[in-house]
Amino acid sequence: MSWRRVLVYLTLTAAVAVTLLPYVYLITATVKSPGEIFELPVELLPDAITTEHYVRLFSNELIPFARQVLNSLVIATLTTLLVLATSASVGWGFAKYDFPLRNVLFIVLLATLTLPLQVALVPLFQMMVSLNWLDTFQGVVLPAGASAFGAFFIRQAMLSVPDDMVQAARIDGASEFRIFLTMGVPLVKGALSVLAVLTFLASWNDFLWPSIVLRSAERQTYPVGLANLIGFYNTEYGTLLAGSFLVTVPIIIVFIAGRKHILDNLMLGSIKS
Amino acid sequence: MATASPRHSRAGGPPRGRRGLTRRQAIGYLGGSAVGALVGGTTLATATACTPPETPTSQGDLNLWTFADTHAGWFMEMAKEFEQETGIKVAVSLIPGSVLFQQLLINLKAGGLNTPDLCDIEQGAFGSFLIGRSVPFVDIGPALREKGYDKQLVAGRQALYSWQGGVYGVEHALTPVTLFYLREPWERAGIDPATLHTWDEFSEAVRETFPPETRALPLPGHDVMLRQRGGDYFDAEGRVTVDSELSIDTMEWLLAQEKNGTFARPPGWITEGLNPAVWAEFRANKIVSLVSPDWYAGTIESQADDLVGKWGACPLPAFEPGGRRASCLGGTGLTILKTSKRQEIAWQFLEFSMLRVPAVIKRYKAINLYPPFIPAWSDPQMHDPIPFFGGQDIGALYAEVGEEVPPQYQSPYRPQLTGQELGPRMLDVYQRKRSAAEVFSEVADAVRARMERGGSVG
Amino acid sequence: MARTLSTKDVATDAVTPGTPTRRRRRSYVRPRWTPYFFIAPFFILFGIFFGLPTVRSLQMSFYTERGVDTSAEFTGLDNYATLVRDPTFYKALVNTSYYALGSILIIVPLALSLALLLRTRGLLLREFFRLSFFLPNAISGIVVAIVFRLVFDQEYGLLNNWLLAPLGLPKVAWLADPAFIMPSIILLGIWQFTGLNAIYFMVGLQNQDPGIHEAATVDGAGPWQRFRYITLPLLKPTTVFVVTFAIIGSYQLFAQPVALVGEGGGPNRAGLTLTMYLYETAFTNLDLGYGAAIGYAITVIIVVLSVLQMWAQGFFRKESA
Repeated sequence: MSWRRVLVYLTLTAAVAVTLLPYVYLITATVKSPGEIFELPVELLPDAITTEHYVRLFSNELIPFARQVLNSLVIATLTTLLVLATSASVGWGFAKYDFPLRNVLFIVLLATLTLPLQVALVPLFQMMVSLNWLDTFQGVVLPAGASAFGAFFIRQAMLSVPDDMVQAARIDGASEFRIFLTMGVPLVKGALSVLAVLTFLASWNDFLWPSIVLRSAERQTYPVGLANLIGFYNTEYGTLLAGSFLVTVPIIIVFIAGRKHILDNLMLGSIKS
Repeated sequence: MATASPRHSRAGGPPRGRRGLTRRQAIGYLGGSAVGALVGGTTLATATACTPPETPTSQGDLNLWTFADTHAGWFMEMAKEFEQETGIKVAVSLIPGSVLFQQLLINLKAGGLNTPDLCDIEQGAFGSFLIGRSVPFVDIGPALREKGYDKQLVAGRQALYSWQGGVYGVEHALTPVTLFYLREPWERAGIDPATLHTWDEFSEAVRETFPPETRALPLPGHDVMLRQRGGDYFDAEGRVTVDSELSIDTMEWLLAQEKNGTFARPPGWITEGLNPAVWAEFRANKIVSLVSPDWYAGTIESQADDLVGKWGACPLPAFEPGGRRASCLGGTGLTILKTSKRQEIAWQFLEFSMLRVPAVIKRYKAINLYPPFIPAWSDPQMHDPIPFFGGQDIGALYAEVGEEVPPQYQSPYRPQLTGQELGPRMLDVYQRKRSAAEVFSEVADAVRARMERGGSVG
Repeated sequence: MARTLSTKDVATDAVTPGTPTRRRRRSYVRPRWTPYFFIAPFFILFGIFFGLPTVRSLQMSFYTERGVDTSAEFTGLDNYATLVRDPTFYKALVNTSYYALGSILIIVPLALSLALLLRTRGLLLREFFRLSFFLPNAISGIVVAIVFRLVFDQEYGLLNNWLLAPLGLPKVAWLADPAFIMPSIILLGIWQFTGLNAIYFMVGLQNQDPGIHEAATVDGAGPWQRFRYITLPLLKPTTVFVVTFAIIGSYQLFAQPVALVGEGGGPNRAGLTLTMYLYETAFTNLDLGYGAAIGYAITVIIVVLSVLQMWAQGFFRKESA
C-alpha cells in the first residue's frame, strides 16, 4: 500500500473521528451521573453507568417525551406519505404531458425553490389561527405536503419512464391514472424511496414550524420538547442528552438498514441544474 | 386491466416454488406488519390530534398555570384546602418559564386557545401582555378596592401589574433587597454592617478595615441600585427613563465602586450571576457580603449549602442620610385571564390563597417569599428565627424596611427593553468599552422608536 | 430526454409507420384535463399553503398589527422604513452573512476534498465513511446544538479540554464571549453540513466522463493540472448547486443558534440570525406586520444572493438543458 493511500486512510479516519466524537460523547454522557458530566478532567467513559436520566426522561415529570416522540413519528409518516403522493403525481404530470401552462408553472416552481419558509411564516400562522388548526397535526402536515424539491426530483425520475410503454398501455385501453399507478410509480421506486427517506428525515428533525403551530406539550414533537427542556435548570442536562440520543437511534437504524439503497439512489437521482 | 410490459428482471430472487421464506420475504412480511402497525397507530393518534386539545370544562374546575416549582407546590396545598372549603377543584400545571409566557401570548393571540383561568406571570415578562387595545387579564382593581385589599398590599409592588388605571395581578413577593453578609469576617474586622448607614460610610469602612484583596460584595444590579434611589427604567406614566441622569449616574457610581475596590466582579458574574467561582471567593472570604433579595436564600442554599447559617442580614446602606434602605428585584403576579369562563370562581381562589393572613403565612413558611401583604407582617409566625441567618429574626428586618421597598413600573415595552435592547449591551458597559451615557441613550432611543411606531397600540 | 406525448397525438389517433394498425377496442378519447388532474393535488396544496401566504405576507407588511388584541391598521411603507433604520436588523444581517460566508468558504473546499478522498479507487470501508459523514446532517439541528453545548462549554467542554488545553491555549468562552459565538455556530455548521455536500460532490465527480481524464493523462497532464482544468470546470453545475443551497440554508439558520445561545442571540446579540429576529418580532413581540416585512426582506436577500452567485459562476451564460 503506497504511502499515499496510507495518508488517505489516515485523513479519512481523522475526519470520521472528529465527526463521530461529539456523538460518542453524547452517548456516554447519557449514562454518566449528573456530577460526572460537569467535572474535570473531562473523560469519555463514565466511572459507573446510571440509567437515571432515561428513567427521568420517561417519567413525564418534565415533558411527555414518549408522547412527543410518537407525535413526531405520526407527523413524519403522514408528511412523507403526502409528499410522495403529490410529488409522484405532479412529477408524472410534468414529465409525461404537454399542456399549455406547463412551462410557466415549471418556472414558477423553480423560482420558489429559493424562497424560504420565512416569507410565508406569519400569514401561515394567521391562517392556522383562522382555520382553528393551531395545535393540530394537520397544521404541521398539510403545509409541508407540497415539496418543490420533491416535484423536481420525481419529475426527473419520471422522465426516464419509456414513452412507448406508456403509449402501448394507452392503446390497450388503460386509463391514464392506471398507467400512472401501475407503470409510472413502480418504475421510479428508487427515487420515491429516496424522497421518502429525505422527507421523513426533514420532518422528523423539523423545529421552526412545529414550534409555532404546536402549542401544548402533549401535541408537540420531540425537537420542540427538547428545546423546552433547555429552559429548565442546568441540572436537567442528563435528561436532555438522553432524549437527544434516543431520537437519533431511529435515524441510524434506517440508515444502516437501507444504506446501499439510499446512497446509491441519491447519487442516481441527482442534480442536473 | 392492461398488464404492464415485461418487468425489469429482479436479480437475486428465488425461483418460484421454493419452500420457506427467503430473507427478502421475511423482511417483506416484517416490513409489512410494521407498516400495518404504523398505519394503525397513526390513524388512531391522528384521529385524536386533528382538533385542538380540549381544556377541561367540567363544572367547577379551575386551571392554574405557574412556572416556579415552589409556587406550584404551594398552590397545590392551597387547592386542597380550597376544595375542602368550597368543593371546587383547582388543577395546577407547572410549565417552564422559558416556554410559558410565549405560549400564553400566542395562545391569546390565537383567540384564547388552551388558556388557563389563572396564571402566574413573572414581572419581567408581564409587559408583553400589555401591548394592544386591551389587556388580556381581568382588571381586579375594583375588587381589590372594594374589600380594602389595595391598602393592604404594598403599592410599589402592585405597580408592576398596573397599567393605565387597571390592576391586573396580585404580587406574590415583596422581594425586599437587603444586605446579606457573612458574619464571621465582619466580626473579625470588628464592624457591624448595620451601623453603616450610607454607601459612602460603607465604602470607607470596608476599604479601611478589610485586607486589600477582600472586597465587600459583587456588583449589585444597575436596576436594583437605580430603584433604591427612586428611579427606574420607566416612570409611572410609562415613559422611558433608562437614559435619565439618575440612571447614568448610578451606573458610573457602580463602576467607580468597582474601581476603588469596594465592589467585586468575580468571574462569570455579569453573564451568569452566582456560580461556583463566586462561591469559591466567598469561602475564601475574598467577598464578604451580597446585595440580595429574600428569594435568593433558596438559590444560595442550593449552590452553597455549607454557608447556610453563617449569614446575617441588615438594611442596605442608603445613598444619602435618611434615604431608602431597601430595593426590589423580581416578583411574580397571579392573574385572572379574561378568556376564562369562570372568572368569579377564579377570583375566589385568588382571594383565598393570596389575600388572607393564614394563607400568606403558610406561603412564607413553605417557600420563603416575604409577602407584600402588610397585615401578615405583624403576625408572630413571621418572626421565627431563621437557621439560614444563624437564627436571626428576618421577619423583623423585612417588616422594618418593607414599606421602603421602591415601586417598579410596568410598561408594555419593559421586556423588550431589558431583554432585547439593554441586556445584550450591558457587557460593553461593564467592560468599559462604551460609556453608560452612550449605551443608555441608544437603548432609550431604540425603545422610544418602538413605542412611537404607528398602529393602535395600548 | 424522451419526447413527451402531447394530448394531440393520441386524440387524433396518429399512427407511426411500421406499427400494425389495430382496431380500437373501444373509443377512448383522453380528456384534455388529464394533466391538470395529475398536477392539481400538488398545486392546490402549494397554492394554499405557500403561494397564498407569500402574497398575503406582502400585504401584511403594509399594515401595523401589534399585540394580543389589535386590528391591522394600514401604514403603507412604514414597516420598511423602520426596517431600513433598524440597527438590530442590520446586526442580524451581519451575523447571518458572517455565518454564510464563514461556513460556505470552509465547507465547500472541505467537502470537495472529502469527496475526492472518498473516490479513491478500491477504498475499503467506503460505505462506513460515507455514512459517518452523512450522519450529522441527518440529526435535528436542535439535537446537534444540544450536543455542542457540551462541546463548547468553557469549563467542561470537549473543545477546551481535549484540544485547546493540551496545546497550552486558554479555555475560550465559546458561548459567552461575543467574539466567539458566531465562530462556534460556524463550527457547528461545518460539522453538520460538510458530509452532505461531500456526497453531492461525489455525485458530480462520478458523472464526469472518465474518458476526458484519461485523454488528459495521456497528453501528459499531471494530477493537479487535471484537477484544475478538467475536474473543477466540469464540476461547475454541482458547485453552483451546492453553493446556492448553502446560501439558502445559511440565511434561514434558526434552530442551532437558538439552542446554543438562546432566542435572543446571546451577549451582544452575537448569535442573532435573520430568522431569529423574524421569530422574535412576530411571535415574541407580537409585531406581525413588521415581522412580515422582515420575512420579505430575508427572501429578497436570499434570492438576490442566489442569483448573483449563479451569475458569478457563469451559470447563465450557457442555456441549461
